[in-house]
Amino acid sequence: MSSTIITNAIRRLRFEHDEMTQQALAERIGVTRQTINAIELGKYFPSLEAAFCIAAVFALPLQEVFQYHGPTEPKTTVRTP
Amino acid sequence: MSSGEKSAWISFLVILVAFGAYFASIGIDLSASVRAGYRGAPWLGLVGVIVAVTLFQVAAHTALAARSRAEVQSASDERERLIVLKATRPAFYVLMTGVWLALGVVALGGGVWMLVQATLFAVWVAELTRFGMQIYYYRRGLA
Repeated sequence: MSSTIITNAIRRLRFEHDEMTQQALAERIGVTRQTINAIELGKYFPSLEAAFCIAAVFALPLQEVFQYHGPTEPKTTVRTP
Repeated sequence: MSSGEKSAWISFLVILVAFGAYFASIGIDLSASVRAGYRGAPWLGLVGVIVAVTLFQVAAHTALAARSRAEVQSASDERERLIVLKATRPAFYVLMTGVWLALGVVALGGGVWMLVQATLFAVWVAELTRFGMQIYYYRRGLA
């Protein structure tokens, strides 16, 4: 797990959404501004709940906000039962 | 700097300075005190340090709350809670090691006063570890 790299597009998405501030995004999902800053800088990986909340603020699916670049990247096709 | 990090810095510095001075004085007087059976002043000194640390912590955190009221009143978020949890783990190991060493002091013939001082020293180092690790995680990040 140590080689796992998760990047995100939060900074870009904030500017695309009327230049939303870190503080405004933080208030929308119930965390501190410093936590949003840490997530943007890759110093903190948010919980699944917080990640979904951030994606919901931008009205995007999770994988368009967070990208996983680990040793086993997720498959792009999804099988339905 | 978040209010959580400021709080960790306050606690770290207050405990470092107050108990550092206390243990320095204990260290200087240790051999003479033990040989002379000196017991009164160290207990008074310990009570004084605890009262001083408590008062200074309350004053400093009150001032911090007054300066950034909105931030302090909001509950800590998931990152801050994780930082506190991750910082507690190494502090626990330090405390356990220190307590066992303190028991060793008794085994080597130290009395109640020495046991209290050694245990208090272990708690002090563990608390410095806890607040120090909190500051480390606040600054370096958790990823």
